[in-house]
Amino acid sequence: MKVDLFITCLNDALFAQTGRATVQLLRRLGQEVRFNASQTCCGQMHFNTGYQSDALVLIRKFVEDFKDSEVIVAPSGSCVAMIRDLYPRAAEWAGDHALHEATLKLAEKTFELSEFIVNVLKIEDVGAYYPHKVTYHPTCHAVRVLRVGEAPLKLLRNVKGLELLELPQKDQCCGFGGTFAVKNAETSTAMLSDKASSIMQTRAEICTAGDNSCLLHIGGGLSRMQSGTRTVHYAEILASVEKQVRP
Amino acid sequence: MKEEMLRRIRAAKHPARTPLPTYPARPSRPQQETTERFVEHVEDYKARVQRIAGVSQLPMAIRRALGQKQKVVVPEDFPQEWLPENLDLIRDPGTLSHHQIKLQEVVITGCKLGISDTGTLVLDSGAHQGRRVISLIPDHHICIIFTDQIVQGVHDAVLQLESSVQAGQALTWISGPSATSDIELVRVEGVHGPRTLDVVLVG
Amino acid sequence: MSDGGIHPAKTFVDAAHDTLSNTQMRRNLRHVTSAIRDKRTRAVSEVDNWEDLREVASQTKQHVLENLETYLLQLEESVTRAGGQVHWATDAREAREIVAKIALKHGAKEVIKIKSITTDEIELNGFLQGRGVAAIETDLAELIVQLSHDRPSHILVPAIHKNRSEVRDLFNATLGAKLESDEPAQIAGAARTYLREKFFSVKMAVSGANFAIAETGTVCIVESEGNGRMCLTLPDVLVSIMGIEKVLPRWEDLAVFLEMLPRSSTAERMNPYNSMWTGVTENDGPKEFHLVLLDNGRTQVLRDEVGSQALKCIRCSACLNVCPVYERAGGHAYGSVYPGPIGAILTPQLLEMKDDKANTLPYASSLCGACYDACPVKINIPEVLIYLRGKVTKKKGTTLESLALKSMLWVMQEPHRFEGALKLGRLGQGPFTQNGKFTVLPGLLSGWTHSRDLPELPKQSFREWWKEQGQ
Repeated sequence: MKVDLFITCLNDALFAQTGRATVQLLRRLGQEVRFNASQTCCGQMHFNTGYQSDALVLIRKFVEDFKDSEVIVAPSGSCVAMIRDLYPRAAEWAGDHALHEATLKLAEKTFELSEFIVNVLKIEDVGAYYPHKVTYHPTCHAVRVLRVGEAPLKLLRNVKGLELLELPQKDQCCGFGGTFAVKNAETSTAMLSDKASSIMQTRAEICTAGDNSCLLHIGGGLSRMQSGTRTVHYAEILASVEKQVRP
Repeated sequence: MKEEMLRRIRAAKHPARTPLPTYPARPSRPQQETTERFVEHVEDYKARVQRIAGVSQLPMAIRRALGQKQKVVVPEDFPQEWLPENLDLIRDPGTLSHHQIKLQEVVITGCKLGISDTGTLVLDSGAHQGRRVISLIPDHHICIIFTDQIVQGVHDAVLQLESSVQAGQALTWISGPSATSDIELVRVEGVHGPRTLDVVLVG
Repeated sequence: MSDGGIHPAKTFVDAAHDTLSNTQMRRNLRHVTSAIRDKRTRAVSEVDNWEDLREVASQTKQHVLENLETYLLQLEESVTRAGGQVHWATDAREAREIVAKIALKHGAKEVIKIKSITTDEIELNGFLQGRGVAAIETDLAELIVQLSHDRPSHILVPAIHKNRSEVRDLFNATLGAKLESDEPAQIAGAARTYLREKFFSVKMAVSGANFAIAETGTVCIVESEGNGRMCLTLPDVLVSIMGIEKVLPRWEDLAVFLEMLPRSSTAERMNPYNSMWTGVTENDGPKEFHLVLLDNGRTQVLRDEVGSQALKCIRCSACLNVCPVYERAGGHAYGSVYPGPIGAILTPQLLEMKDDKANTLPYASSLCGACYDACPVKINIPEVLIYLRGKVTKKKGTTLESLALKSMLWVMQEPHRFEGALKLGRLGQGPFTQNGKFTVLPGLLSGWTHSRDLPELPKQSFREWWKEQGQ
């Protein structure tokens, strides 16, 4: 399959290693990975913060950038949720029927990384090796908007050497919420402290998830607390193989 | 101001495009299972349930539910033969004062129907039930229900109650004794309504 | 007198700041919300076609909003036919006047009240007090809130921010109770003793309404303690105030709501008591019944196709109990009788998006979506939150934030600008980072670094790596 990678602006700028891992992983699974360098940002931050006409500019750009794609895969639950759930809504609110049609088509071929591997490629064991104790935080948009369900867990359970530790209160939001983390910093921090304490209870070395935005927030808190636990996107775990284990 | 409110509603120009939905059908259970679940659910509310085979056993069952209590109020049409003997009994023809009812410890009534899914008794002021006030003021309510009065779900109950409502009768749905969870979410049985609920299931 | 109303005194950020440090409240909230959450999951899982019921409930409410005029007129006719009187109130002031007039006509010095958020919304108690009529709350939690001159903090359990010892001390001080134990059963007993005398002596009751049936004129109230039954049965005069959106078309339509409301709110199969009455019944209950239909901003909400779904709400409070923001910030942070996620979309809309403090409420959410999943009538709360944020930014015009996002948009419109910005960032970040991370950031981003580190930009962005690979 020709897979068009939507890397997302956050990964592009701050988490290039997640992007590289996603490419390596998909190639290992036999996919032809393409990267259209004209892509930038899905517009989620503008849209969710209330700058919907600004977001529309980026939405139109995205639709144009990916109009010929066979399938679009992104290592981010919230960006995929933006595309699948909120793009059609944005077009509706703007009263743009043509855009609405286009976004519905786009939604059908856009996937979060784990659901693409498990539900589309029908692969549950990606042949990874990662000898660490890991706990998995299901991110809100992946769970409640995309309904990825068990897909990430299926993949993680099949990673050799990895010990998966159950996260208490796992369905609780970490408190990131985009600009919420800045605009309501104190409430966001109160949520983060509970999430961090759940993670620390597991005694895992690593907390993983499918969204670097949530991990930026969780990891930023864990780092500030000198907790001894760090965050890693699961693309990086799944890309690791024996003899080439990622640090 | 009625006219102003109606004008504002019209100004909202909500297009009428959503039809009223129909209630989704559910497979019905055998009556025996319906009855058993009813009992189970009533007991979950910490109400006491006695099951008896026929009305001839009602006086005994009621006596058991009463314990030492004697002062009883019943609706005017409550059958004498259902009651144990030697009660300090008053009947309400619909004219007893609140004060007179307050002097009684126990009220005994029938009901219109019971709901299995939720363990609910519904009173509609019909046969053997009397006015709302008599089943409210005394601290102990003994309610008689027959197995053929138990319906499966809330929707079944609502359909059956339609004629009572059309006739202007007030309804009281009772699911266990009065309760509150307002303090630290600790459930306390019994606040203002009857603090004890006894159910006698006949048949 | 408890303060009510829907006008927040502070922004959400400021109000949350106060409650976040209230450790007693934090502990209570965590306990309560997690306990009801678990119980609710069990209560809902018992109903195998829950999702079908949600759809039916949602469509029924939507249908009502689309045909509101028809059903309100039908309701008026049915109630009148059954011997009741119907009043129309465009705003809180009119509604209060109607109630006060009825009380004064009957010479009532006291009225007993069933817990009703609608009467709190219109700040009825204080107003009646000014007219020489004492309103006595009969729901245990509302009584606690009233006696302590506090505000409700939860739709279902309004005094949940107080612990048992506080309540015992309050009752000893205000009701003349002599409680030594702080057992909830003892405390409830003291309330029973105090209120029982009121139930038998006060001649007028005021209530809200959970549902009203247009077809039959029947009004329904669900409750737990029996104080509702007392108020609805013993006094001679009953006044019920309902938001216009509470009307249901047919008697049969009640079924789905009675099935879903208790499981969603108290997480029980059914709450202890449901009362349903139709106008006035001879020899049974009040001799006079008044139904007040309240607008108070609702018709304004109705104008908005997206925002009006907030009017489908049946006040179950399921969204509060699953909301991570509510669990930390507490009900008072929302500054309105409607707290939590539903309050965040209802309060600013009832105030026609004109109240700057209420307009901070749509931002009081991480958009985690738990409220939408829990809502029995399928109000897409996250969607409405985002939508209302759009209205707020439009109203605010140019701000530091809007400029920041505009410049970001400019950058994101062209990939080469994005790439340039990353290069510039890498050069500029030097003085601000330590050991590969930011620990203090200025301006809008300071909220981030007050509790979190931020990694610095890596030496190579993804797109630079891709280019370097020559792909």
